Amino acid sequence: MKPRIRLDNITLLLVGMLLLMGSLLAYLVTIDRDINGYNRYDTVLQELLLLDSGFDNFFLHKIEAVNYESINRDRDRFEETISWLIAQPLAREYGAEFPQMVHEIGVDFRKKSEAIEAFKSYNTLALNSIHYIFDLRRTLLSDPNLSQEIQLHLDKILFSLMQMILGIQTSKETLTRELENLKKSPAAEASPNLLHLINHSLSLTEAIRYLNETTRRAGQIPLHSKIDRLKESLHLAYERKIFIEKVIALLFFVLTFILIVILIGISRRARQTHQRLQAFMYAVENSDNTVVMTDPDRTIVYVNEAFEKSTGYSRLEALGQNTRILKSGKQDRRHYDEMNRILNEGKKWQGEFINKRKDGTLYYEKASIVPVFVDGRLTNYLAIKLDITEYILQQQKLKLSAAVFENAQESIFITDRTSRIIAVNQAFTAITGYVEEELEGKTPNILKSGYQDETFYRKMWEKIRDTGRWHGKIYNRIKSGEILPMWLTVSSLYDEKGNLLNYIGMLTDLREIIQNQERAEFLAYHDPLTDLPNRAYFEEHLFHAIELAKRKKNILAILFIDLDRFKVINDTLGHDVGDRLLKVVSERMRTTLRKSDMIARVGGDEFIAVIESIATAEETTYVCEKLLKKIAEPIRIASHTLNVSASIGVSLFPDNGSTITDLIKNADNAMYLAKNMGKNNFQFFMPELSRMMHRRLDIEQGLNKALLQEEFWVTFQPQYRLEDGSLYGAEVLLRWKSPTLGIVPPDEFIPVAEETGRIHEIGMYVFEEACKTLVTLEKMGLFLENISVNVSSKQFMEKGLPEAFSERVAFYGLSPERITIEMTESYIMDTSTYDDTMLHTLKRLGFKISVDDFGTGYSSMSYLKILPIDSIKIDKSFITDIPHDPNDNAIAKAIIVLSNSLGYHVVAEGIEHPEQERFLLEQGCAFGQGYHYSRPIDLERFIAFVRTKSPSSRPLLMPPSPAKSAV
Amino acid sequence: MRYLLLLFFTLILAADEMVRPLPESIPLDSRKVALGKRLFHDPILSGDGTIACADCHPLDRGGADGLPLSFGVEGRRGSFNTPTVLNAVFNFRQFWDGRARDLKEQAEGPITNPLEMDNSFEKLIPALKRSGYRPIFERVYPKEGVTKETVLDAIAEFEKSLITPSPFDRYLRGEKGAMTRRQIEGYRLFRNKGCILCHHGVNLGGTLFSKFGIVGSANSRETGRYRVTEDPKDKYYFKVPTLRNVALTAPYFHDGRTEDLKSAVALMARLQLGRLMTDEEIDKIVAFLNALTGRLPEGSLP
Repeated sequence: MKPRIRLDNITLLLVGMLLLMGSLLAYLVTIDRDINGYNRYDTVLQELLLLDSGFDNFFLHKIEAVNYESINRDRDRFEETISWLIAQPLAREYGAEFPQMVHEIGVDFRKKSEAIEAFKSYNTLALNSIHYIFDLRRTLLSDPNLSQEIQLHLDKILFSLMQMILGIQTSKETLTRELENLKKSPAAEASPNLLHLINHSLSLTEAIRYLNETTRRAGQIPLHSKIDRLKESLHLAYERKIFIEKVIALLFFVLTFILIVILIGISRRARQTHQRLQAFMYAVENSDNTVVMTDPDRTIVYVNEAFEKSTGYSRLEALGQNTRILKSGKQDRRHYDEMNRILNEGKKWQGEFINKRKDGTLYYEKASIVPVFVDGRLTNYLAIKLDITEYILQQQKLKLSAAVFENAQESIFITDRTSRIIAVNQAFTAITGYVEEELEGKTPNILKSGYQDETFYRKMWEKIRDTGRWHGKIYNRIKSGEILPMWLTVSSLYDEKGNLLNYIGMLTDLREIIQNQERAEFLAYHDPLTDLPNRAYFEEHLFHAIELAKRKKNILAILFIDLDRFKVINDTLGHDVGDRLLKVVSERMRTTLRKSDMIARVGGDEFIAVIESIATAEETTYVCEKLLKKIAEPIRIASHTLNVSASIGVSLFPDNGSTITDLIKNADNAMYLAKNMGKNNFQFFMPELSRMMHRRLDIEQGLNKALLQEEFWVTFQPQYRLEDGSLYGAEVLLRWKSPTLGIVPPDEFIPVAEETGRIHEIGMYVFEEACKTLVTLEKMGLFLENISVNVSSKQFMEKGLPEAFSERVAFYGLSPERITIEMTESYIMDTSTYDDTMLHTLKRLGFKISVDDFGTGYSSMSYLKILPIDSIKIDKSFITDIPHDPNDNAIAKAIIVLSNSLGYHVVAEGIEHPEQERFLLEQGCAFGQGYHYSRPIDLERFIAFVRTKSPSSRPLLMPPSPAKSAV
Repeated sequence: MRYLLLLFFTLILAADEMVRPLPESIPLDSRKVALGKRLFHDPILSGDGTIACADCHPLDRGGADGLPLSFGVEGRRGSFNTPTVLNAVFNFRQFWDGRARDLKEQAEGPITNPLEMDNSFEKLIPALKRSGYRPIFERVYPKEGVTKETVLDAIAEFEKSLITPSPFDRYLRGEKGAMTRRQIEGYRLFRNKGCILCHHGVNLGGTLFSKFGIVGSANSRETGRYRVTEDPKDKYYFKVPTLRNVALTAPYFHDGRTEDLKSAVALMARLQLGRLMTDEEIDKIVAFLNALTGRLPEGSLP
């Protein structure tokens, strides 16, 4: 940018003053010159006056011998002076009239000069005559020829001449006449001297006349007055001129003085401005505001201390830099475009910056930028900025606080120090129903319920005063008039000096908490599904009941209730139905019992009740019957009508135990007994029941070594074709004879083996025995078409079972089709244990599959259809009463028909009479087993049986199979 | 009364000292004098280059050529007897009719007078420049160079130097033996007879105009001062000439009518003083006048 050279006022004033002073000086010189000039003129004129006086004086020297050199010199001097005067620029200096005056003086001088010249000549002439007359008179006095008369006459003439010379008035005519007369006299003719004297006298007379006339003429020349007038006029003109010049000089001086005063004023103002500027500089330097000044190109030319602090740039680093070094890039172009637009219009811009410090951190600035114009030209930009980072952060915190305040679950109210509410949050409004506007100026007393007395409030305020805080439960009346329990926390807010500013109150609605607490308490002692007490509650209650009964010598009855086949319902109809069923049953049982009695749910379908204050066991019987009856009523849930029953075990205090544990355990055992007794009944605890438990333990221990000690053996229940009574196969049955327990029936030890896991090895033993049997028979040249092995559902839980079976079969060189795996219906229907793939694998490996005890479970034929089943065994319970029980007949008939239509073989179990056989045959049942045909027999007898029953037409030996040859 | 009258007249005559000696020296610019001297003797000043100032004013012969009327260029005859150039500086006017106020004015006259040098400065200045005067002028008058003014000034300056101290001056300064007894007597007569009334001052003359022929007609053809003033009263008025070196400057009077000094004194006594003087008196006066012959300063002659 080309700086324009400009003159400011001060420079102009200074230049003006210098010019003025120069002019004044020049003018003073001029005045001095004028004064000198005038003095010269005055001197000259004075000299002229003197010279003129000299001239006038010269004329007085009539008839005097004078050296004319001096007058000549004076005249020359006068003339020179006049010439000099003429040469002077008088017209310019004093006026046009002065040269004229000088000229007139010159003219008069020339006249006077001529007069002087004439005077000189005549004076010389006169003197010459006087000389001669004086000379001659002395001669004539001594001339004796002259008469006394003549002598006297001459004296008379000379006297007249003397008078004339002296200027005494004489008659010239008379003298002239006298002289003429004397001249004509004979004496004159006789004496040439006398004639000369007369002539000279005449000449002298004439000369004197001329002299007088010349003197008179010279006297009339107004040279002196003209010089005087010139001198006077010149003086006046000079005075005037000097006056004017002095006035002008004074004006100059005054002007200069004024300028000096103005300059002093400006200087003082400048000094004041300077001081003010320094004060401003100081203020700017020490301002908290960042002050930045740039040139029009935004190059920084000034920064203050605050800038250094807020940006981290030192002054030296910042100067000369463009302001863009501060740009953070967090604000888009439009922000800056808008700023530049406003600045380019020459207006002030205000806004905020997000700028970057030297270390890269961001800071916020509130900025105000002003374009600075000096004499209409943009010279600078001045930015005054305030670092508002803290403020912004605080603002953000405040916003957060406000948001927290507004969105807090707790209702918050803030009061001033006089407890007047100034703010409440949404939660407060939500709880109390009061909006902020309603509460303005009110105190929290508006919520007073009256539940707390004045002492309460007094103590509360004392606490607040002492510690600044208070919290506690308080009942408040809300806008609707409802009184709510609340938890109030009051905090006092102080400023830095410890002055109280506000109280902050936080109200928490305790209703929910109280409810939750109650609920939790309830849940801790109740079953959530049925709302019945839980086991813990029950035991606690039972403990008290026992204590009470002990004191009152009362009898207590503990009922252990288990729903029969609830598991099946749950599994088949879903948990939802099961839950609803439980609720209904629970409700029925609760209402059946007295209020003072307690019934608790202790397991999925297990309940325990305690009946207090009973006199005899019969009362308990009555209760149990009533319960069973109530439970057995059909229950409609959704589209289902369910028939439920229960098994109840009863133990009595103090007969069956005196501790909670014993009593409950005994009741439980009694319940098992009831179950074993066919369900839907109740059993009292008996000592035998306890013995049963001991036997079970013995069995378990016996089983541990039974396999090793070869205490097991198998028997065979032959199976035959009903059509012709021919032997078809046999069901392998396991038998155990313990050295301590003797013969233990399978019904007794199998469940124990299942529980202890022994079932796996025992099952495998049975399977091997079956295989061995087939091999033994073949070795003896006998052929058994099929052999059935019972496999417990627990066995199926072992992975790799089919593969193990298949390996064994291959080992003995048998065909798997000849082995039928029997499983119970309940296993198949139990979705929790049933493994569908297991069945399919067995089938794929070539084994035959049979469903045992069919009809006892909740089987549905349609379900069976999708299973890889080969045969179904109708349970003995359906066979026993046919053909006399039409129900059983119908069932048996239905099973047979359905099975045949699905392609399954049907095996009837427990055929004992010929009419049963006949009925079944009629219905289309192909196979059967039972005492009617044969009892289960040991291997030896079975081999003999096979031998007798083998149809002769059948080949005894099976053609050797590849697998068999491999063995 | 008679004696009273005598006393009166005696008083009148007992005037102040009427004559003064020549000054010992006067301030001069020697370079100008040298230049003036050269010009004074250089005929280039005349129209045809034939006549120099010194031709009519031979310095070795009293500053005048000794002719009744001098000759100008081409033999033209002038109107007046040449007055001496010596001591002319002390004359109150120059020329017989006093038409020039000073030497410079005077010097211009003969140069342009057709009867004398018949030249003009229009011609003279270039001529001077051509003839080698230029460097001299430029040295002496660095500002002006060769101009009419400087030519006249140089000549005048030279003429100022032409003063001739005489025995009379020595006498006046108190050297009584400078003049003879006879000359002193002549001086007494010169004073007493009234000569001194006109011939006074340093130059014993040159202080006033006087009528030529006071007592009787001088029969002059020239009217003198009348030519200048045209005032009838000035008819026959001439400047009273200096008497210094008068013994050398015959013939006398403006028309050179008198060849010898004695006749000139007699003529003066008769026409001017209107008295008879004895031969003895005249001789004494002539003796005195011879005491006025002075010596030229050294180097005045070329």
